[in-house]
Amino acid sequence: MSHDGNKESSWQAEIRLLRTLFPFFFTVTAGGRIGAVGERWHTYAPELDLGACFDDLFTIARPGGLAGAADLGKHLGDVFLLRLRTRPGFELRGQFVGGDDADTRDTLHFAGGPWLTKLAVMTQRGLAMSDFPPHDPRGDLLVMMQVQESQLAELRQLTANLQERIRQQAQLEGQIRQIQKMELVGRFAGGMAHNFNNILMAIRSYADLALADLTPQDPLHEWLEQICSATDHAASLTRGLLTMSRQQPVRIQPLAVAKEFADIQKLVEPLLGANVKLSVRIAPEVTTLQADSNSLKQIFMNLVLNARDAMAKGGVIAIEVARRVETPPDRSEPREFVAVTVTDTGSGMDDRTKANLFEPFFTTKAAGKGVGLGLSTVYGLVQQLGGVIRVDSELGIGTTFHVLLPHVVATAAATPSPLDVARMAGEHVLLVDDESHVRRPLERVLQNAGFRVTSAANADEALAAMRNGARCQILLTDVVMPGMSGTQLAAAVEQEFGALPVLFISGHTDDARLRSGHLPPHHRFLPKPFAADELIATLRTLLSA
Amino acid sequence: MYGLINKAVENLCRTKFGDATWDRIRNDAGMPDEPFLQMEQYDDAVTYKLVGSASKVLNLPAEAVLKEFGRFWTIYSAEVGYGELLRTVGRTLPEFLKNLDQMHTRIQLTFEHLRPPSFSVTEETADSLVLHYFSERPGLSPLVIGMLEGLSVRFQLEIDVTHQPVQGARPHDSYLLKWKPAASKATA
Repeated sequence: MSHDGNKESSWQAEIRLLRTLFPFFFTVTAGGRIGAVGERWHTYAPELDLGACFDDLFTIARPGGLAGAADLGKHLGDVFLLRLRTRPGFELRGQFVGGDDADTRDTLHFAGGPWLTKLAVMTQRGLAMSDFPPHDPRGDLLVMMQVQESQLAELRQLTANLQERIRQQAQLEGQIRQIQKMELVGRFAGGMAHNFNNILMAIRSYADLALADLTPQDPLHEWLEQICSATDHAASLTRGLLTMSRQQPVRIQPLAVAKEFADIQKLVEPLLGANVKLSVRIAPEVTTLQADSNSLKQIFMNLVLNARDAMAKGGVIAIEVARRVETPPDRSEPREFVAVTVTDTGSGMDDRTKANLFEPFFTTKAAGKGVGLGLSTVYGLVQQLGGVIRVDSELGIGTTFHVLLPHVVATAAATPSPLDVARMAGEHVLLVDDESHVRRPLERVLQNAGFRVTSAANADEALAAMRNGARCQILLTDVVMPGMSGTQLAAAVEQEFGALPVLFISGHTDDARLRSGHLPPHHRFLPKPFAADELIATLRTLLSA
Repeated sequence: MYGLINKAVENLCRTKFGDATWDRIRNDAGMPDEPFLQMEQYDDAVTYKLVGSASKVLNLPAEAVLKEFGRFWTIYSAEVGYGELLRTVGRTLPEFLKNLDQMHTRIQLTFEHLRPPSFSVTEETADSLVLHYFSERPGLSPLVIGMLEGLSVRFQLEIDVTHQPVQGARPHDSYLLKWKPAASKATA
């Protein structure tokens, strides 16, 4: 090939320009050999050098049906996609252009560059952004796509956050609906319990009175006992309703530990199934604890049945009772507790379950198997008893619940001695209840037990009786009454006549202090209905305190 | 500035000092408790306020906060999806710095309101160079130093940075960078 000075200069200038604009530039001669090459090839693929055979180096992916270098000249201007045989995955996209005159017409110039659709591939192919000159929009396109991918990731994250918030909101709304439902049930149950328990009180009192007049051999004796039993059963239904809505009053008193846990064992064992064993071990030094018997049963029945549910393949549930000195959660002085642990060999809990365990309506059980109120009720009851509950659990190992309850030293005060009974005969009781069908039989019960009784239908009558000289040693009053309530009456009596033992009775009360059982030592609360001997025993306890 | 920068400030505070500290900084700056969006444009004052509040709450000079932010930015920007892009900018520290303008120009196609700084390199030797930094935003020089320190970690170099303010027709900041040749190796 010969060129005159000007033509050669022009051709070389064109080559220089192409080399600058296209770092991956090369030419193919008429014989299918590589002519000039861009400088980038020297570092990227030195095998692409002067004189190398095009067909040995490249396969032509596009246009289709081309045999090799011999066909390139027929497709000038077409889009070419070339694959470098020595670098798998590396592709060039561009076009071949020819010279204008006879001398250069047979030499084809490749104008193009690396073909990528993802920025991430760039470094994998050993390329950098500098391999895409400023005029080449592919670099811009790749950056734009990368930025948009990052934005898309942010959008996905925001959407996920939003969905989580919507889920939490829906969960919260569901919980609020449940709470509102429970409040409604509670209000209904409370209202009903008040009236219903007063009626039961009357039935129970009259039955007790009648029983007292009959010998056990009398044919009516058994029938009256059946009436008492039916009354107790009806009262337990009301209690169940109140428990569900957590309005059940508690009666905190010293309880014999052995008896309470024997009762609990009797209650739960039939429910455990053949594969689950229950063991109860009580340290000999633990004889008494301060609690409400019904609450205690509810707490440990719930914990034991939960343990059973955690052991699908069976196992052992161990209840252990011991004395333990601990610092209470309020960080007051360390004090002695009765520590009851319930340990199972079940599936254990993950951290999320542990964190939400005592939340109302949190449950891991299948739909219809539990509403998630069991452990929240347990938590509430333990709090009500002035105790503490904690849990240790490991996935696959099992769970231990620790319930710490106030410890008390057993005293004989709960059971009056025969001497006390004799001394109390003739003590004066001020009985106040607005329901005459409750008040009248109670008058008789008290009189039969040897008390002197002054009756009043409301607080005003009671105060008037005291002002008129009734020297009462104890006030027995209903809580919910028209006008002044029983608690207001007790306060008024105390202010005017000094401290007096008070026994509050009620079918149902909203007074949290009474329901919690946290009362001064000379006050007690007895929920209606109650048996005559229970009333007398409580009055005697109060009078002997 | 774009929200991406404010998000990075938030992320730095949360990662290094905890969520409660970030809440105090955000409150002090009078920002609502809402996420910053990377493509949303925020007034520059928002970023300056955040840096000011971080300085106040953390009891650190604003320069120290900016420097720490510069270091963090080189890690954070890679974490939020720009790692690939950064890898393509350069295989060595000098190459990376020389290509910064090109990268910003390409990014501007998507962040159309971006007003990025401009960088140029002079006096390049085998183990040193001078980086020139031009920005219409005042007071961000410590951020550049932090960023250079972050990049030195990226390129596994030990660097020494000397700040050299340049006066004259185009006043700007320049930085003399020296690094240990033994550690000067490519990462890409």
